Amino acid sequence: MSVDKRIMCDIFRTALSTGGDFAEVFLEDKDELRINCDEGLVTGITTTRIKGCGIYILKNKKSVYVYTNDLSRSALLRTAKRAAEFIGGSKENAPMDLIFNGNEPMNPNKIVIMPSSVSYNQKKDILKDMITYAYSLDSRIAHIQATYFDTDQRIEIFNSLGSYGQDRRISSKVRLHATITDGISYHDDWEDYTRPQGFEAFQTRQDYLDFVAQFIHGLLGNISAVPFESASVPVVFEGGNCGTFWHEACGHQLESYAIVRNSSDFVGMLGKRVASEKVTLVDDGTIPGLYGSAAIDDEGSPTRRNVLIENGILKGYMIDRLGSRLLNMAPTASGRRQSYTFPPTSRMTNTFLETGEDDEREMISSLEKGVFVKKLGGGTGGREFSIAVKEGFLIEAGKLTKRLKGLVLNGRGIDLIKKVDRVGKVQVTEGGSFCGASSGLCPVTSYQPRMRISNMFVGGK
Amino acid sequence: MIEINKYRKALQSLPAEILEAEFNIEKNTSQMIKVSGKEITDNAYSDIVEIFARATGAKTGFAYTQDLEEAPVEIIKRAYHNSKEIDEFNKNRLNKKGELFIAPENIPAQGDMYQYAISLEALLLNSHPTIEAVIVEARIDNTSSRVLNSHGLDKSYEREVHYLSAHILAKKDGKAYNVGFALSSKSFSEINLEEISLQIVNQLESQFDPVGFESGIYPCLLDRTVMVNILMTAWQIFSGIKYQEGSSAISGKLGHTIGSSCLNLVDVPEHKLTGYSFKFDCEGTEADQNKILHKGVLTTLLNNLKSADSLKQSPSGNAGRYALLSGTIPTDIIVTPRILYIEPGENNLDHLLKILDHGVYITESYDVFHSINIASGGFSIPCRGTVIRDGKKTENITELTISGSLTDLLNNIVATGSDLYIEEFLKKSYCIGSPSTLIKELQINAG
Repeated sequence: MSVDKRIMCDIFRTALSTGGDFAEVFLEDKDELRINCDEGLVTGITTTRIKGCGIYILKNKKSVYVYTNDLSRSALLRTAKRAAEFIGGSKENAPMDLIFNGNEPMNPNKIVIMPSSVSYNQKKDILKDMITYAYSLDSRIAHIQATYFDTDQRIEIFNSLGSYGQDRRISSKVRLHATITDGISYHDDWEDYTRPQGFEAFQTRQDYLDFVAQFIHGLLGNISAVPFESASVPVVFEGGNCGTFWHEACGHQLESYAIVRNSSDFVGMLGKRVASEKVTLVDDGTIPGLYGSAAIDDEGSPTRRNVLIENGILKGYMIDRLGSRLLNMAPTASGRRQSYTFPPTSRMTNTFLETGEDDEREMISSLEKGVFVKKLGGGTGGREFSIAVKEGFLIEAGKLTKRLKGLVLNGRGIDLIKKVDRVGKVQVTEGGSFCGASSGLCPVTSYQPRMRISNMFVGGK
Repeated sequence: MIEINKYRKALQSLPAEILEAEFNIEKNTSQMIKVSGKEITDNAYSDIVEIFARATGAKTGFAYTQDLEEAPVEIIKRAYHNSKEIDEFNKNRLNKKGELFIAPENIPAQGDMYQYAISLEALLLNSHPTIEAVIVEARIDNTSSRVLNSHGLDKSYEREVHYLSAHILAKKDGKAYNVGFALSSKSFSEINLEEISLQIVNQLESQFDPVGFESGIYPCLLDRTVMVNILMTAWQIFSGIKYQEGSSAISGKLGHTIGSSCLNLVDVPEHKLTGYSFKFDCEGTEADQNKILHKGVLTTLLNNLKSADSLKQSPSGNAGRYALLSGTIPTDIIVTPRILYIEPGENNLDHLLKILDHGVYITESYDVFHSINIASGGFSIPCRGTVIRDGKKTENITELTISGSLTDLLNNIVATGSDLYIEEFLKKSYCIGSPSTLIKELQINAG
């Protein structure tokens, strides 16, 4: 632990000295390792150490957040005093002698091999193996860079209700960045092999080689890809990573952050039909093996399963502690943040479309013309969302024909999710990535079974 | 409080195997309030010290800490240990001895953050009948940067950025709309509240009652925020590192014309339209204005010490770390802009619309981080806009994408406006600016 528990009571006493009705202390200690390998040569290794403390005070519907990486007793009390001054008021709360209790749930992602127990050489060998294998796949590769990351984040959360929580979140990742050329044009892209695991993520060689092959073949497809004349067509989204559609088209709008600011089309829609009856959308931070899972959220509550939309009916939002006060609804263990340098706010964890009853092959074979989206890139959410398509194909006479390039999906989420006319039977998860929003970059997954939208605009040429 | 002397001392007595070493110590304090309905709803304060180190023996390695109790010599040893594990024998070059101390500027009285916030809120509530609510964020960031190395280099500067942003909620015919805009300066009194209000109203009105539109190639006016949004990713084509790797769409074009003759692109350490200033980079290199594009000709690139050596150019004060959004702390020294902007021309927005006569005014774009390929230059960017006929705004259009190549886009600029706007990158590590730009032709796709 970074701060003596005995200091905690002093911090809370100071923080609540001007009438705040709730205070929380978030402590973080995190180590990261990064190894960069360029064309088979290790060109850089960096170790980073992140350590600091955030103090959060609520007074009715007002919030104050202060943070520092000076963890001396005097600095922490000075920081707490500053927070108390910001919250305002003159009420002197009775001094508290808090006893912190927590049920300390286990992190659903079990770690087998601690990254810190593995030598640099073993990690470097993985990168070199991936690069060598990539070059063996095709001669049109102009440049490859592979970067290894492992992170070990330890957090502790104390609050003035006497609650205590802790979590240890370990993950491993390799980012491949490649440039390919046919001698005329260049294409470059990157993709992550991400696992909420220790070094066991690399114990099965075939797993990461399959990732390399999939990434390189996807990138090479750009060379022969043809432009697509923008049109409104049926769109089939492949199972797995295409769950990003749900994340951007409606996930962000179902966060209490958007609801309280009235920047969501889902305001006032609880209990009403908002999507096709084939749509059941869930956010669940408890699932083992997924990047968005954790023992507790970043406000100390054990993670849980939240049904957002059930058979097309809006059932709930993702709500953090402040959001629960502003909406007068119960929190849903959705308070998340990148680090102690951000106040918590409502965020997604693992967001997925539940399976349906439709036949995966029929979704394509029944179409005279349409677009098949195999893989999505990043995007932005809001009333109108946009997502770049990483791999898309033209559907003609029920078959995939040409690879398409330059596709962008944008539209109004609440309109499009009403047009879901097929949901497949087979659930496919994904490795995960970062989601960026007001409380920083948080690890998430977004996935689904294969799904079809009967008609939507696809931007291209 | 950080004790600089202990870091200086560690550099003066390096372990024998370490030939040279450097610390870059960044201290950031930030104070922020959010105001809505004249009430302060959120309040935040932070005080963070970050220590970046690099150490060179036979090779160069890096380390980073926020742990203020970690001994300076241990941080250097950690960087050195990392250096021993790498294969590449290229050493990073450090700057030689030099001193520079820039004290904080004499900043005029700031008044009260709250007063500026409620003034902006009141202005916006009266600026358009559909605006129902406003959230204003007022922020003061104080950053001090110090670079110390074992050659005796010791440079420090401090800057203070004052920032005001507003997000509005409007309702028209039962539909809700959101718009946001922000400006920064060295003091709140220098921020033009009227400019924030006009920009928000302009973008708000361009969202109402959109109609269908036919895809095609059109003459376009890109709003200044659209070109800034594009350059916020596209600047990477001017990185000396990417140029040298061949992973920039303009690799090999140094000295060639890659843009129209009315296009000048400069990178400067400070500008009156923003509170940001970059007196030296994270390697301690000071540089004045660099003209990257002069009348469309690519004259130089953005360089740190290493890329400048490789390209046989001068370092341009562009050593940086935070280039794009990242979930980890970037510690290696790469290339980033300082304040990179397209120089403004003579025409105001109305004149540009008259010159455009018939075409499309692209008023807003989003998500360019994911839709520009730096190696090929290809882009496909979602946006919305307004149809222009006889130099006047007519119907609004939405769910569009503009597509093409960056080099074609730069070549097709026929005029630049006088309305230069400079925006901070989210990580506060550089700024990008542009005026509104008139484009001869651009592919617009619509549903």
